[in-house]
Amino acid sequence: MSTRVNPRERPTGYLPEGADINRNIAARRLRGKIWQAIFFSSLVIGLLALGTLLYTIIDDSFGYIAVQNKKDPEELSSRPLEELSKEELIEILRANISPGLFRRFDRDEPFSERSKESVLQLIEERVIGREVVASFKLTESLLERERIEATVRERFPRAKLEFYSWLNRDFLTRPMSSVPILAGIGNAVLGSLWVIAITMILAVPIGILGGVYLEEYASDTWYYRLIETNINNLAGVPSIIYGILGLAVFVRALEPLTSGAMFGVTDSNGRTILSAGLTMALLVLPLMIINAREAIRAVPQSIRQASYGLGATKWQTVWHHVLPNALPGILTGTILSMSRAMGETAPLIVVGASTFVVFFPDSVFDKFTVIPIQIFNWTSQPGAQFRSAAAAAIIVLLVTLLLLNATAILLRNRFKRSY
Amino acid sequence: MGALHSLAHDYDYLRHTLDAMARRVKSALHESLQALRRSDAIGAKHVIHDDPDINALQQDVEDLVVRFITQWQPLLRDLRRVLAMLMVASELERIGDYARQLAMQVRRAHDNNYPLLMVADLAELGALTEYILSSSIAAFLAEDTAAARAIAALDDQIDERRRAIIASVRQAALEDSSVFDAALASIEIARTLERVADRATNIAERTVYLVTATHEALNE
Amino acid sequence: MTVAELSSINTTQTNGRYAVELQNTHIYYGSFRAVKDVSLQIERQKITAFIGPSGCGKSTVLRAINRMNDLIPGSRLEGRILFHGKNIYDPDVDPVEVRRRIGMVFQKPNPFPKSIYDNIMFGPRINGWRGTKAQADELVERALRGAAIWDEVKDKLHQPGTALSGGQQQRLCIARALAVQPEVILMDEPCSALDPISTLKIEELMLELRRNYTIIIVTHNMQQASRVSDYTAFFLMDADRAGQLIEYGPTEEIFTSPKDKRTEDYISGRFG
Repeated sequence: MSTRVNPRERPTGYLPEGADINRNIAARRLRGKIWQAIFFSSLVIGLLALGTLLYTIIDDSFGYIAVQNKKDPEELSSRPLEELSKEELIEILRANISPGLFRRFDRDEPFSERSKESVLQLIEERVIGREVVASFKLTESLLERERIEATVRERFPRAKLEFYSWLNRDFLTRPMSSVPILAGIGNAVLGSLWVIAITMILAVPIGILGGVYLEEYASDTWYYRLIETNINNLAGVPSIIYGILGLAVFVRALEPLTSGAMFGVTDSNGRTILSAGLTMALLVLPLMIINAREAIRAVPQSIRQASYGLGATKWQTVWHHVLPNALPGILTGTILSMSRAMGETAPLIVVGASTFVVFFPDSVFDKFTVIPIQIFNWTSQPGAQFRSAAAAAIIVLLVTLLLLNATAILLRNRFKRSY
Repeated sequence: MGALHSLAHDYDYLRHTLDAMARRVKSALHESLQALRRSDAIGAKHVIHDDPDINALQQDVEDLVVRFITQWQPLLRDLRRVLAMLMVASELERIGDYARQLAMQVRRAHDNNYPLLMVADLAELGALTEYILSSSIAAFLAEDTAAARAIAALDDQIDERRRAIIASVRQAALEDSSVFDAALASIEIARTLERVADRATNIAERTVYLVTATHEALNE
Repeated sequence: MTVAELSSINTTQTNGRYAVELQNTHIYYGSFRAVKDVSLQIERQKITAFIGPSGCGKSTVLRAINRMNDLIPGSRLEGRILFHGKNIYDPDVDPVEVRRRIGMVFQKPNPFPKSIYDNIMFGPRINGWRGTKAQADELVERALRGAAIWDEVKDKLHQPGTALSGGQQQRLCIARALAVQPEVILMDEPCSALDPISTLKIEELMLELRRNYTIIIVTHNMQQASRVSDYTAFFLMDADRAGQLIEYGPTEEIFTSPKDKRTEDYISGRFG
């Protein structure tokens, strides 16, 4: 064992010796282990949070539903409805709804002109009246089947129990509906696509060109530095501020343009896809510029010098070397901006995304909804069934975002260069 | 790899210069020995006159070695080689001097009209010396340690012959004082030849050092 | 007469002794004087080496010769740099033309991330080259042969230049510079990123190129300067941290009997 040395006794202090070295190392290692454990627990907390999120969503999206028909199809016809002719179907419809309603349908669109599917749909909606009377979460569906069956037998003796995935093909293509099981995100997906398209058409070229100018042409003067600082700050501005800006400028001030009044569209106000797209473009533009600048800056100076050294002009250097080499980076950033725009909700609420749109948009001057708004809407509705629809929509949104990010990563790796 | 710009190319040039110098020294020694055998004052004068060339070549080798080290920063064997060349050049220069001294003895004997003693033995000793010189140079240029070590064995023969010559000359001088000058000159020639052999052995020693990086005294 | 007009003159007809002349050149970065009063004459078809410690301004002077310094904001030059008797810093001279006539090879091999073929053809193309595919092939082959790399790459002309080894990349960069037919080639420490064997290949290439081009090389490797150059210029930073030309003369003299004590101290490694 070493003898304890008073550090003060030595002019140069005391460095551990003998057994002290081992003690010292053990203490240092222990400290390291503790920190490692703290880092690891943070990771575990993160993973737990993610797991809980996914569990809740999936739990809501799948499970048993109790379905009850006002009238069973077997009572209407001995054969399956799909095999009947259009005329037979019309007869069934006439027999089971009030004459007034039948006349109204005929007025909307004469039965002679309707397709068989359209008639079948009317029968399903008005006569059979398939209705979900109860829905259950995935966990209980899997673990407590007997209890669910007992409950349903007791409370809805006529109802049939079936396993249902709220996320299905119809869900992706159908528009919003007031009946949860008939509701879909088709128009929200389309709305998102429209908005993203407008956002990208505007933000990508402006962002790249602005980035090129700032990086390659702008000199280091106070006004360019001011612009730079502002762009960096704009990227950090809360998105709702952009919503308020969009509301003031695009929805109100530029209403003739954004409502399409200038182009002869009359049935609209400024709360259109165009306004939303313009607002979103404003929101992602600073991101695009910053990202383009970073991608351009990552192009090594040596490549530029080589180009200049051969007698290339600035433009030739930018066009032949800087842009091609920065493109993968710019593309990656564009995709990330796109996913940002895709998930953004707040500014669109302010700009005026409609929460209940049952038709599909077909021009930029249409009212619109987008996936996150739809989710927001459904989660604020009463009833467990809308929550399930929301969960299914969340899955759609998450998968889309994951795909976008994966594409970005793939692009980055694919074009990773060795200079 | 092109041959024009390389360490090996510059070394070849250096070696070539050293080789030229060695040939010059060998022929100087050979000519002075020839003069000794024939008692040829004109041939001896020729040797005395040629000496500045040897000095010039030594300076060339020196300059080339300096340039070589400046340009290539040689290491290990390359470094030992050029340093050895520097020393070999200086040994050769001294041998050149000895050849000149030899020639001067021959000329003085001729001018003062005293015939040298034991010329045949001296010529034999000279031939052996010449052999040692050329084989040590050959061993050095070929970096052949076996040949270099073999040279050391010959050194004993040189000593022996030199001792025998000096003894005989001494005897002759004791018997006949009229040959005193000739005896002194002959002894001087024998000594000079022995020194040449010593220098040549040094070259052989350098060869061993250059190859093995260890110092071995060969002429113990 | 502009450089553009001069470039139409066949170089063999202008038989002046000097390719480039610096006359009282001062170089500034903003208010900082990086190089002070350098005057020197670079002989045609010789290799001139610039040596000196880091920060002595030798690279700055080199880059001033083809106006690469223009790319650094705030850089400015006083004095004159003559090329064919014309000051390349005159307002009527376009730096783009200067850089075509005075090529440059950089410290780190910097081939474009394109094929070997496109690396060579980039210079001619951006400088308004016109010709057939066969002529382009010929041009590429000549440039690559000129840089002694043809045999190594002739079977992979369409593979990326960045896939070559460091030494090959540097020779590709030299070939790329040759393709625009410069008269002077500036080399900024061309071997500092290369292994000794590749370094020797580049040196050998420089000796080969000396027949047709004037070469100016900045090097930290004193042996290299003594091995390849015909003339050596020694630069040193003065008390104001401005680079100065201390001594300039035939390499043999600089490396055996420098006139200035500072040159001797630097070359013998006794400096600083």
